[in-house]
Amino acid sequence: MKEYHEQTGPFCRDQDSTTKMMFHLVIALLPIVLFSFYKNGLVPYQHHKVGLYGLFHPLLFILIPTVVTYLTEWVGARLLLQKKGLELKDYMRHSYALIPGLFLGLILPLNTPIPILLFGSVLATLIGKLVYGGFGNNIFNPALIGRLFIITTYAGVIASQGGYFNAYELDTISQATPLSNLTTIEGIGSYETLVAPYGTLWNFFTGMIPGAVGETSALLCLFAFLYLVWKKVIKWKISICYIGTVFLLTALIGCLNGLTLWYPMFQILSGGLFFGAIFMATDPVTSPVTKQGQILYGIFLGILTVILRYFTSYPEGVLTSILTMNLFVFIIDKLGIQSKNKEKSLLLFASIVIIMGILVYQINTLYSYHGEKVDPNFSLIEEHQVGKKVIYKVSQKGNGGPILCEVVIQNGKIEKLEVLEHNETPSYYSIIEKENYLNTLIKEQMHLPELDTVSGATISSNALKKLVLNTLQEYEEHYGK
Amino acid sequence: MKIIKNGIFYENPVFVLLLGLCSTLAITTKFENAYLMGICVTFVLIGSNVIISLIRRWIPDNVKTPVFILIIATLVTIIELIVKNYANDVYEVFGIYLPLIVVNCIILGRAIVVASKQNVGYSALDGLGIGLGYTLAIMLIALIREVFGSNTITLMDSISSLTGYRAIYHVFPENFIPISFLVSPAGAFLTLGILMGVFNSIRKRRTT
Repeated sequence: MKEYHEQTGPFCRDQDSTTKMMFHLVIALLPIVLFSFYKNGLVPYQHHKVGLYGLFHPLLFILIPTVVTYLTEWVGARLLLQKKGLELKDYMRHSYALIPGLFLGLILPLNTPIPILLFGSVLATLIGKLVYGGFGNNIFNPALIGRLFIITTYAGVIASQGGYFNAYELDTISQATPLSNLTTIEGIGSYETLVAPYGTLWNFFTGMIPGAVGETSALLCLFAFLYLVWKKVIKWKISICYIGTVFLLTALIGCLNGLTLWYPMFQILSGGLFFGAIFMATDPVTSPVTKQGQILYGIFLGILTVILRYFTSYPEGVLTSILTMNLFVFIIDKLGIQSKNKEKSLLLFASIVIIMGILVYQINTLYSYHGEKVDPNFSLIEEHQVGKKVIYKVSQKGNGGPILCEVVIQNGKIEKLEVLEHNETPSYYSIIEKENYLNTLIKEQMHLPELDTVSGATISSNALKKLVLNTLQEYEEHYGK
Repeated sequence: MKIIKNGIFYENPVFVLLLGLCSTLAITTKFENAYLMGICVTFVLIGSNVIISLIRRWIPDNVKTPVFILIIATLVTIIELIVKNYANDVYEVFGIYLPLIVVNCIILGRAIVVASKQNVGYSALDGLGIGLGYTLAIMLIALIREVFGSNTITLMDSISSLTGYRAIYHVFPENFIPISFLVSPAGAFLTLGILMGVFNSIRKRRTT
């Protein structure tokens, strides 16, 4: 009779291979860290945008969470898990303690204030890892938990500090990040609006575009990927399937809308997909162990990312989808074991193809409005006429749900614009209020399409702008100009 | 005394029995809401426990639950009318969660477990203990959520029409950016989970 021992992941054949894996990961991440130093420190420094502190800020930004997560893990292992002496030493050696911090530094916007960074790194280890019982028992990727806390709580603060842009990009690029561009423009977009503001696709590949500290360079991620596969550290099937699925789906969507190969390339090269797929999705603890499961995991991640990018106002779909799929790892592993059966795997394959088909069809119908433009996010709730005035009650989908407004139009001109109800993030919305954007909208109503959105609250202000535009259009249809 | 301590500590409805979590999670965004809800629940709890304990001999077994619910619903309606009349602001803040006390599992649970079996004095004390336990627990959750989530402590705000005072205090200096995540529903679960862990580790150490 064979004896079985219950164990937690990662499952290794080698005795001390967790330590080795950690070592290889750090080696693979080193070029990326140096690149982020070059892009966010050296380039602005050369253009005299930042001082000496700004030069080393990116390095400090990555170093701080790394140290903090290590310390938190050590303290937590002592106090919460009650490990002592040799056991503690052993635990620390095997527990990937440095990695979540290192990742966290790389996936956050550069302008995150340091206290917030500290807060995030402590929570990443504490809630992402130690609460579950330490390394090997955690369900979610700790670094992503840290990022989730920071982004859900302090997104407005970070945006008001400059968001994803380093000092050099702030002066040279007037657009938002590539993917938030995707959510604000009309329809599916074109080369001019999506790629041209940042140069060419080559910039996307090398990583010289605005984005989180270290996740922009697809090239370096690819090198790291090859190194890690060679050293057998990561589960390469997940990364390949993930990127492949996103590429396939967006290529189909692009094709149906008459866009060529640049479109799927843009989709996979922006928004940290490479970084997420290679480093975050393949985390040894929180990803499936069966081969079929890994393939399924990658495909589902891809589908989810595409859904998030097209159907929600969240520009960044990668990290959110990885967090979500972490929940289903157990089920996917089970599916993976079952799909060794030929019939079942065929069934699974067929259902995935059907899901993808429906998805592409849905996105296509949502975005391809030729001829008359009808904004699906806009809805007219009430309309009544008082004398010459027409009073509209309309809503437009913003960042956190519909924004309900009252618009009074007289002789084709907006007299009054009032927000009745909204569900936007307060810190974002306060920026709009501070800039008095509603008044600007009324003042500039003749040149609305060219009007800039409020930086720091792009999505909310854009929704307001679209709301006004749509209401005017509605008015013109019924009452003429 | 032992019965009350049991309600607060060993059988704390929120941290140990995990009952009545709906209102616990929903209304703990402000400290004020928490203690007001606590008072309402405690009142209903004591009332229902006493009444049910008084008439326990005449209730047939097979219509037990409907009768209990009827009594609880009556008490809740009384509370609802009182609150609506004297503190309309509080009524607005609580919204649906005030009538929902009817289906709060703590109350029905105590009615079935305690009130239908014990004498009146014991039931009343049990109601008081459990009610206090519930109140203290949600006050703690609300305190943590409000202080860190919105940087204030609201002692009296929507009840100010009744007392004539308004008391909202800021805790941290201006430049502290509140962790608004805690005020969201997910933050409620997180706070509850962590507090539950801490509470139960203390309880375990005490009992063993």
